[in-house]
Amino acid sequence: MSHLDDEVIAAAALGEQIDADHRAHLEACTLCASHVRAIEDLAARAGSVHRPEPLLVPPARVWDAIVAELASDEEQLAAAPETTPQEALATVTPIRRRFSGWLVAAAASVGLIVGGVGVGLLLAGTNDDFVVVASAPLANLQTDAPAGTAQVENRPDGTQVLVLDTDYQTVADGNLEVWLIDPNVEGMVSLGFLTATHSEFVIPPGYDPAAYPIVDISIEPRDGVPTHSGDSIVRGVLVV
Amino acid sequence: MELPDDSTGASLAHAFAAGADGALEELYRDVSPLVYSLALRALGDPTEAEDVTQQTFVAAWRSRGAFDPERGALRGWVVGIARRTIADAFEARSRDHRRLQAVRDDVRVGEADHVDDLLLAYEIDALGDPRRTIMALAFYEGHTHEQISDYLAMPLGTVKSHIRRSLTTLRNRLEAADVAS
Repeated sequence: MSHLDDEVIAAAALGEQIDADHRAHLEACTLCASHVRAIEDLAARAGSVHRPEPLLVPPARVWDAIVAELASDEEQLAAAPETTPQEALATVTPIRRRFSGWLVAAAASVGLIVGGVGVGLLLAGTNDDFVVVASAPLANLQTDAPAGTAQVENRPDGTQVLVLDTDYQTVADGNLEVWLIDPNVEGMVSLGFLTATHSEFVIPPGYDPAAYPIVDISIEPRDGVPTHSGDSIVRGVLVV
Repeated sequence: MELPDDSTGASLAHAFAAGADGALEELYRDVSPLVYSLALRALGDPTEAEDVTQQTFVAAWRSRGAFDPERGALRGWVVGIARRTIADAFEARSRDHRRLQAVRDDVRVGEADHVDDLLLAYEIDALGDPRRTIMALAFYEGHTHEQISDYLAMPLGTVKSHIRRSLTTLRNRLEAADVAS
């Protein structure tokens, strides 16, 4: 006998009378029995949900933002053959104009809903020499293309080290500086200048990567000003 | 507002998978109210709901190559991306909360259930009449099938048949969103 059709499955789940043949099949067939259970579960859930509020249409700016974000993909694709790395770096969007919307919104909502704990992936160190306590994929802020990885390692000597593996390129008028930034994009600490594709930076004691989870690489002009230029090129958010 | 019927979505699904001009806009028109409303009810914050909506459709377009129109409904696939994006937004919050030492173990499970229940309620709404009304009477208001039959002056067998088919439809739609995530 072939498997039960949907109507019979639903009838069985609702406790209705079904043919003896169907009943016999159901008792022998784990697949059909699992379908019946799935419908039973669904019916139980349907009995506990509330009538939903009417659907809301998102503001028009959301569609505009999608178009703008995808347009930059296509420009990037179209421009890729001609664009030198230098040009790509020269046209990046400043730090506060990207990303901060999401992060500030996320921070502003703290206190409205209590978040869960243990969500972050704790990567157990597999190497005897150090324990990886946090990691993040890095992304080019202009293209969203992957730009390497960052991880925080607890070393046996008690130091905590940020390890970056990212494409390094020199910048004509400045240096690349590495920062850890808080979710409000207000507090930040400079870890030093990036000078190679693989770099390690000791995180100063007292700076918890959980409190400063944003890894940021910026172009800093050689002007002697110690604060962030606002010209970020690569970001990632550490999952502690 | 009505959700789009799955049967009208087949040509859109193929156009979308092929990256056709206008396919994303049509998809957005159809599904963005569901995505935005799910995000807003789940997160309670309009700015975050807008971010989730934007990220969902940007991600859907960028990963359209991974969508197989033969395997499932486009709307379910997009809703699956939305669920994942909402979960990411909750994770971002919980990271902040851990920092503030204001944490609770059991919340995230509840949040995931919350999104699923919202989705179920919206899908019941999307069944269209008479099924939406029958399902509302049966499940929201707890009426017996006989009472619904009397109330709607509809044969009992027809009421039962609508309920059976509605549950099957709901299961297929919710599964599409599950597979996608």
